[in-house]
Amino acid sequence: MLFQTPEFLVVFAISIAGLLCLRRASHQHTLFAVLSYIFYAWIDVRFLILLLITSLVDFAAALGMDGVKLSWRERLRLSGYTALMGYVTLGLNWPMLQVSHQGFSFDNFELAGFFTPRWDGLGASLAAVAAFCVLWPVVYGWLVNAYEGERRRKAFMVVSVVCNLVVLGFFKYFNFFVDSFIAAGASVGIELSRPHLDVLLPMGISFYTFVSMSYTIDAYRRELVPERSFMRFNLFVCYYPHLVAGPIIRPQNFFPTLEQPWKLRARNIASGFHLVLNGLFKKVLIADAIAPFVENVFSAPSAGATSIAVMLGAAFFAIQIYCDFSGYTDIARGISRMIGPELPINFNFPYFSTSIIEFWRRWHISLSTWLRDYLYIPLGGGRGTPTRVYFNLMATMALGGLWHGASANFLVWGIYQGALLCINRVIRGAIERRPRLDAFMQSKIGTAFRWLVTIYFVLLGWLIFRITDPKDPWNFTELWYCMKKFVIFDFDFGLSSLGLGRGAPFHAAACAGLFVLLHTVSRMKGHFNERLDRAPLWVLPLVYIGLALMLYFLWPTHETAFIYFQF
Amino acid sequence: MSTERPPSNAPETETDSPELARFDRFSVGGILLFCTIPPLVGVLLAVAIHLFVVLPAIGVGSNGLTRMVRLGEHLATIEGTRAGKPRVCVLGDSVSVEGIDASAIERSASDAWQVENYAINGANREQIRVILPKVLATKPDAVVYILRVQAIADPPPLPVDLAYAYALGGFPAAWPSGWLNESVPGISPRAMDGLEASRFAAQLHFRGALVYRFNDLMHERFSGKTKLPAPDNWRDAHHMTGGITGERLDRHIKTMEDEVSAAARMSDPAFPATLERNEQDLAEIVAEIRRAGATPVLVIAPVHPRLRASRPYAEVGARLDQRVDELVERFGAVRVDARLLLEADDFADAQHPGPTGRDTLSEFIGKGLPSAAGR
Repeated sequence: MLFQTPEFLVVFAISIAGLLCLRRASHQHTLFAVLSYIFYAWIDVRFLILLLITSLVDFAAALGMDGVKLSWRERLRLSGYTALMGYVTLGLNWPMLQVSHQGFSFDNFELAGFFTPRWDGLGASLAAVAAFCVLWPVVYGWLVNAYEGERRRKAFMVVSVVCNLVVLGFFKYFNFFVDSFIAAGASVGIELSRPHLDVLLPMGISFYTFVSMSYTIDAYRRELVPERSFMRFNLFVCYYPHLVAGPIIRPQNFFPTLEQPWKLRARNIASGFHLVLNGLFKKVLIADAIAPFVENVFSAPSAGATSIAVMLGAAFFAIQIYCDFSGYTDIARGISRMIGPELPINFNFPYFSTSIIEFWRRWHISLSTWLRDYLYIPLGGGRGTPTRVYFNLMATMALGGLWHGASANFLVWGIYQGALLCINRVIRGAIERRPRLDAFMQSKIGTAFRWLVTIYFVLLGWLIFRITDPKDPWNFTELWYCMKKFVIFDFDFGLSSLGLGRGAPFHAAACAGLFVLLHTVSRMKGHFNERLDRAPLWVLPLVYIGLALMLYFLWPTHETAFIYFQF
Repeated sequence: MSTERPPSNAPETETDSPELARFDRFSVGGILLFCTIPPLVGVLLAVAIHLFVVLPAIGVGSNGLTRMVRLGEHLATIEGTRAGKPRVCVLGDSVSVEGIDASAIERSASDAWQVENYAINGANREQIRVILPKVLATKPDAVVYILRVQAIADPPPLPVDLAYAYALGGFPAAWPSGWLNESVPGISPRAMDGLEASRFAAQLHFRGALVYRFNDLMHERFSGKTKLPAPDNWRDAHHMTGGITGERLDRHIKTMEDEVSAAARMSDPAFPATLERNEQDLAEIVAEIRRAGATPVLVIAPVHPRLRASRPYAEVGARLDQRVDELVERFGAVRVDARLLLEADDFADAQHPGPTGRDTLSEFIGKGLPSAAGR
């Protein structure tokens, strides 16, 4: 389900009504878990069971680490719940009602057909769920009883991490690895046939897997007390504002909010509403307006895109991805703020960074801090020899790149960012050893220079991120063409490759200009939503009416999903 | 990744700021109304402005889309009789928009035909199918259908905007039962939703009319070699004012080759059998013209000399020749073969006739029109 759709308004209205009617925290948790299931299942109901199974594994693993001996009754209750949800999600013919990714229709409903689903892999999927429901209580009991102390903690930790990575690896990377394997075979003259297994990518799997893993890792590190209520834990993982595209929340921040019932407060509703407006503005009026132009430039650039076209394409994509993702984050945070829990910030003016290191402190903060805390620091972080530190950086960023998607360009993008961070460290060290140069770099001219260099490499990075061949993950022909055009200017000032008449370049240019202006003002005077928070009350209705008018006339007729949904 | 610890991931407590305390004077219901009523008022105001100011003033914004709406309105004004001069309607895409001058056809025809050019930029076979019943309802005596080789290849999906523009033009109301559905090549479920939309829904769909208008105006200002397509010119609607040469022409030639090759699925091992479904679709269109009592005139569009020998054009073109011959035989259609008619100088680019090409092609079609005596 997308935030900017009518069906989400229904979910949100039920959320508000629920908070008004339900006073007990446990009832609220149940309601929000159910709403989150619906929110997630709206795209493809079958993936919901995957989410539940990974949640159950991590829930049980954290308890197991602490030596909690769940009774057979508790284990069977959880198994029964999982089996029931398995039947509901897999055993009913929801696709019959699912007319498109947009929503449901009862036009084709037929009672008998609803109970006899016929989709590929049904039997295997149901059998896998049944096997899980039977096996996990046994494995849990065995691990709790067979191991003691640290060995038990480690055993449950390994089970949890392996389960998460296997699920993530299979559903997200199976096709990529198979295609890569076939491509590698072909390159040495070995013809390999593709196995007949079309694995669909569950939406938001990277996000919720990281959320869930952070819980077990923190439990392993004794940084939290494992949760005893599966419903509460489940809500932590699948709470709908953050579920499909983050921000990646941490258990230490979320669980305390569950101690008391969530209460609607006027100030939270107003402030959250302003954040939502801010996000909608970025997503709908900027990102979606720019998207067709970017698509037009990068659909087949080697057909003749000039350096100007590639550079503008990269710059516009930088704006698009920022407005798309930070717009989503603002909407998610705004909705959550209205309901109760505060979600972490994810962006802090990344394009004003004057170094790559700073960029990564400001871009997708919840992911970069996750990678830092759960990957970079465990690898050794900044300790050890320079070579070791560079290896840690490269490995962290390469995996962070691959986290984004199952395509070689994301891996290359991660390695590229890792290399930039290493180079940044080397140059920073060298400059710090030369006081005069250091002073120059801190001056206004030096800062402008650092900004230019940073933005140049960030844009080059976005080219790697954006240009991919869905048919062949290792095909870099288009990317290589664009990188050459970006790095070596061709002095072709023709505008035809900008797609005049296609891709709405003028509207996109106007929106990009508006973004640059407003973003700079926001940097100097505070975010738009914060200024709304401070604005006189009589001004607010006028602003709301003005924004509604703008959104009406400028809301694109084509629906554009959030870019990070695919990750 | 920073080697120093970045800012904490802990959520900020922005809602504790003192400025927000003033919202506490509202009850929960009060603040919900405060946040929802003004936006609703804004939306209602926007709808009113859109329906009563924007649409009457600038149509659906883009001249290309407005032409579809205007065509529907124009056809609705034509009485469905065969009295007066015999009428011929020209159907096709941008090649016909650029390459047809109704006056030149009338001048060169043996009989006193009254010609109208209903060609629409980008109108592939599926769009011809959308507009055909309404055109036939005006009872033309002949329908000239200008066929590029793409006519028997897979049409690209009908863009949703175009579907709504056709809905606004009232075309679906003229369809015979079962005439168009999602099984027709190029018609996606979303396009079908657009085609079947109510007038009000179609009007609301074009809430981006101002943006389209802005893009159109800027396009005309910056591109230099085109003017805005005339939305209600049914005689000589061409709008290219210059041509391309050199490297740009080379690129366009290559693009056209690739486009035809991809549309005809030439890399598919089953080619040319992959074209069969499209050929059947073309035959249905010609049959419908004949059923309405009009003479189908199938014009094979001119091909740029540099494209004639290329594999996609040669192979798909040969196949199109065969199919047209069959249609002539089955439905008594008239064949006008203009494939080799124009020289390179007659083209504005790799596919569109320029000014000389327009005159030559129009006169050639005029001469090829059948006698109107037996109508």
